[in-house]
Amino acid sequence: MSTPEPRKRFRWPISILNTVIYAYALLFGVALLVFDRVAAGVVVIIATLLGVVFSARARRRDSGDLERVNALELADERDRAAARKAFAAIGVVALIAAMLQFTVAIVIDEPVLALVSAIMLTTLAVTWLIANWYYVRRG
Amino acid sequence: MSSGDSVQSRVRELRAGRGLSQQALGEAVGVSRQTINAIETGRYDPSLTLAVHLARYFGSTVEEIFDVDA
Repeated sequence: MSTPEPRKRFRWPISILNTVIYAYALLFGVALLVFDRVAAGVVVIIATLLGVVFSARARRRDSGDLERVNALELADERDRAAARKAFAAIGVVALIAAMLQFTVAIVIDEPVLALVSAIMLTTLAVTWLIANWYYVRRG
Repeated sequence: MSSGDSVQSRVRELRAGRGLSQQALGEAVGVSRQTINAIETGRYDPSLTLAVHLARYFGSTVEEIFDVDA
């Protein structure tokens, strides 16, 4: 009599974060189709499906670290540390880009762009302050 | 364990001594093969939690496995 093999537990193929991101993207794509923006909708849906495949592939056992971090399928503390540093870099670039955009909007006297840039810059600056407070207090 | 000082580890030596692959050790302590490789080659300083897990796995102490050049 052979011992029955343990049943494999079902594992959702992508991370929760990616599930939320791709579900949003898919809904956005469907909404575009519903509102008769067929070409844009098809592009968004195809890109979403490709993203899901890319993320699911990054979750396999022999995937590379860069592949996992790019796909936001973080497997361990080193992946998380790399992703945190990369997001911090994005934050710095976003702040600088928002400042430049705001400056250009003022110089070329474009009130709508200036308003949007001001909101973006303020949001980023406030987020930075809150993040500083949170991580300093958290130790 | 990240403080800016260089950390040397005996992970490769201990792992090889037990005839383990990087993949097997990674699975045993809950990290990827690449993370074990990065620790062994000095490209990544593990967290205190991971250092303790590695030390427990090898039946040793953190100080015996990791050395910090101050």
